[in-house]
Amino acid sequence: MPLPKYLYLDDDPDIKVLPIIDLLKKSGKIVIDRGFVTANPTQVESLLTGKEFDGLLVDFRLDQHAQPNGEKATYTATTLAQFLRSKVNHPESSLRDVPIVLCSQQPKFEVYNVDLTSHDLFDFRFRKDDLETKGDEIAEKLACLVEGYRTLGSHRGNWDKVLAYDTARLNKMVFGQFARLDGQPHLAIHEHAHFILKELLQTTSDLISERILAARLGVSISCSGWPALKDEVFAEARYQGVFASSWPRWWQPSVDDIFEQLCHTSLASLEAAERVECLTEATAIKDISINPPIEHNSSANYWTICQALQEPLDPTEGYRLRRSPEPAFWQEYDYISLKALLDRMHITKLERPLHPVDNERYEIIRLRY
Amino acid sequence: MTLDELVKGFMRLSSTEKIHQPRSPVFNRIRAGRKGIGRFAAQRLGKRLTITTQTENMPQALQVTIDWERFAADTNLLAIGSKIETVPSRGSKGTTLIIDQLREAWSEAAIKRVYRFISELLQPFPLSDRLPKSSKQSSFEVSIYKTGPKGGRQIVADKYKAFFNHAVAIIEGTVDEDGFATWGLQGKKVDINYADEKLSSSDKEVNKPYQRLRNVRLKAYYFIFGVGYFPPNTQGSVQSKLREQGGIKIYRNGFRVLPYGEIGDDWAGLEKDTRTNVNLAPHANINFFGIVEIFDTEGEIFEETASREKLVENEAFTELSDFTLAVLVAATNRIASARGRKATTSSKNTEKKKPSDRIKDAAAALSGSNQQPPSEQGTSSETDNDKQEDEEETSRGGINSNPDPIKEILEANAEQEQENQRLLEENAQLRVLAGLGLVIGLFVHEVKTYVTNFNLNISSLNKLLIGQVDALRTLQNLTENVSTFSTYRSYFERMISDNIRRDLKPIELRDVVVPFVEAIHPDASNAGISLARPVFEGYNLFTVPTHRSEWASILFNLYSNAKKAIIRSSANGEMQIKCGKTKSMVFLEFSDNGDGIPVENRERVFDPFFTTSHPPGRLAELREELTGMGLGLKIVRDIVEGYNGTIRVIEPEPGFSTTLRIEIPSEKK
Repeated sequence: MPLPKYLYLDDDPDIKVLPIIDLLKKSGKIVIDRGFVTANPTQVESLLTGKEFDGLLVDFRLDQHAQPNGEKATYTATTLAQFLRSKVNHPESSLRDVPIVLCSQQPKFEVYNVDLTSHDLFDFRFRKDDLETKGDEIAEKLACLVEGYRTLGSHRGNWDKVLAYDTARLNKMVFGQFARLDGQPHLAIHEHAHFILKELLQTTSDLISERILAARLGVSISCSGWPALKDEVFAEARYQGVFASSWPRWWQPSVDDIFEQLCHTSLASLEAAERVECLTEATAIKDISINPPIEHNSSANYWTICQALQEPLDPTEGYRLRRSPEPAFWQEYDYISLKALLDRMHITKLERPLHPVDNERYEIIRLRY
Repeated sequence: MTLDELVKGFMRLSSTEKIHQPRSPVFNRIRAGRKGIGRFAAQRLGKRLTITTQTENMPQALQVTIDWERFAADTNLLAIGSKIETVPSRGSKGTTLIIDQLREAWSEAAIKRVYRFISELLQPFPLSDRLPKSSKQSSFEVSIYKTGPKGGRQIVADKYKAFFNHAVAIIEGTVDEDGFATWGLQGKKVDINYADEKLSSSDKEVNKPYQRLRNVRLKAYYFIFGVGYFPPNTQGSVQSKLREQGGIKIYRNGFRVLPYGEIGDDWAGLEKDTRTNVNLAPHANINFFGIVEIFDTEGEIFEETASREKLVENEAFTELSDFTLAVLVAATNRIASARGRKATTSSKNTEKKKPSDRIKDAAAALSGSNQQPPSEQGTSSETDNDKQEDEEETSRGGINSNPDPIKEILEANAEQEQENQRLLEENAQLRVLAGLGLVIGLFVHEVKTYVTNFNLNISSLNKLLIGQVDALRTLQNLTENVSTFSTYRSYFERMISDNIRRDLKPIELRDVVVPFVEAIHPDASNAGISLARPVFEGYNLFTVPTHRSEWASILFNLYSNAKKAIIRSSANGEMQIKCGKTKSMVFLEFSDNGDGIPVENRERVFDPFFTTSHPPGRLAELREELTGMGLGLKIVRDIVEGYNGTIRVIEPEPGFSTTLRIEIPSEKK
């Protein structure tokens, strides 16, 4: 299969754009063609349909520099993306639904960050300066998005297939927004993609990240037994659905099952030391260790991590970070530990505010220190 | 409640009590609640509900405890018993509900929020104790207490704490049943109290009764906005509340009469009087939170209009408005003169007064003696005026030897003009610097895209130059230089975007020190200086409200100063930042192992243009010229002193040759 091909729109001059293209191409994962920004979004539509592009990479501000042909756009990436997203639903349009990825300089993202209505438009966004250190990873994500869109194109609506999981095990409400009447068309591919990326993969729910998995198993992620534990013992719980290659996740219900089969008791009822003891007894992996509770904490009933320290945490000892919008009932908050708060890491490292309710609690507690 | 009422009201499922007895027997209030929300709320809040109740005639109290945990799902409700017990009498009638084993932690802020919601239902404050009982019938009060470990009760939220605490004084006025008017005031933030002062209205002599006005009481909380009357960060909220709810409201027989005291209503003429009066005491609607109560059960004196809003604005009403204005003006004038006295006698150093104060005082003296404005006439009797003037005189004695107000004004004005000139010059200098700052901001922003491209080019070169050892070595240097440049740039960008926000707020020293050390680290290591991880002793190192970018400026100046000292000494440079707190201050100590500051220079280093750098030679770089001017530490000192802080050279930390210590008052909680 040929490499996924992206169209890259940026109004900056070649000297700024070409290094970005070079870098992404060098990964060997994708092909990128530069397109000049046209005066009118409809011309972008014909660019996309004419040349069989699999994805669109777009700079946030398209309206700042005139192009070599003298044209200057009056729209930005959000306007363009909204236009294209709507257009795929028009019966007469031959436009394919493809991933749209946003890239920009950091300060311009600050404008984007407060423009909440446009957050549903892009599948992924990255800062141009992140390319310096994470070029290959970003290129892989772009390729992974195209692959995911292909899968969704043929199987959308069939959640078992799309997520490669027996979704009867999940709460029905998770997929509530995709309910439809017989014969009615499915929501567009990008709606499915957006939901999976934002609500399932990037938020903790029944799908959990590697660090949270480690915290719940009571195991320190830095111990030498960890790779075998997650890749062999808990391999069955690994998420295999769309976008899995760039967003590694584990299914909590399956993690529970595996643990219970091995240890004949439920994971959540044990403390970290007990979980590790059970795992060591039940598996051949011996060199696994546990993290002690973070300073000022005492519980080892780990179920989440401190986002600032990336260490395991009992949510009842943690403080919720604000999430906008509030998580759905089947999703979980991100937490931060008291130690990290007292060290002001929510400001100096995460740049994320506390949830207003927990902030009140923290304001009382902090005076004790 | 009787046993029967307790059972019907609290213990019976789907009780019809509220249908049969729609009004409460004692207060005759309509009973709320039909859907069981109260019961669910009680269960939501705590695991246990205890009801204790007693009627006037019962020798003992009844008590029932409901344990919600027993109402678990899939349990037969009819099988759960809750026993009514008899407990010793508590000495008074009434019902107490205790919800305990609360399901969540209640922060003070959450409690206050609950209070605010409830208090919207209330009258602004309880009606004066001296009022006839009947008016109390419809009032109800909310108080929230906290019981300490030793059992004492401490008020968590009540209307006084939340709001009235900030009042300068409480002013009261009365018209008795014969029409005689008196007033009094109780100083909260001024040290004066008056009671039963006789009042004269504008068209009457002293102590002559009002013709129609009877049985009126007035109570008003008086607020003055300005430095010294509010704890930090409270003035704004009080001011905005008063903007909406300030003024004097009228209650007739215990019920509010609209629209008196609403926004835009000036029934007592306070706004008009403020605008036309040269009297300096503020007394507009926004300065008061008050009520006037009229007792006129028969409706003889005041009539409501047919629409049942407003009162018929008859002679009694005119007298009411006159009375209200007169009481408030008389009281605020007394407070104004008390404030003036305090301002002069309590100042420790006998510095001369500011020109603007001299002018104000002189104007007050003028208006007090021969330019009594007409609207002020009713506010105080001749004897009052004399007393007031006497006070003014004694208050100024010794400090102000100029008795002639006009000469005083001219002199003060000349002084003020000189001061203005100086400020204009300073302003011009600041404008130049601000312009420079803007240009730097723009530059920092614009070069951003180039930094990304430098790095992208470098990473391409890295792949192209594989195998060419020398070229790669040069490229390695280039990479490091670009990286240092990039960290500097982002630090300045951060500073500039912080500058967009003008508000001052308490700053935890970690919030400024951690990013600073991160940003400056590459520069320090390029200069061969090892910058230790900052040491923080204790948590909550919050300063009084300051501006974030001022901290950037302080840290940057201390750093470049230390760096110069290290370069002069040719030592293996080391620096350390240590932060901590004392009882009322937070401190930051910046240490280096440079050439040190001789004891005789310790005081002088903060003077402008005192520099230990060599005079910049012809080949000196621009940077050296800028940083070698000796302004750095002076800027630091100006910032620190602006917040009542100090900066000094202290005995160096072990292993270092110089330690500068900054202390700033800590955030007041």
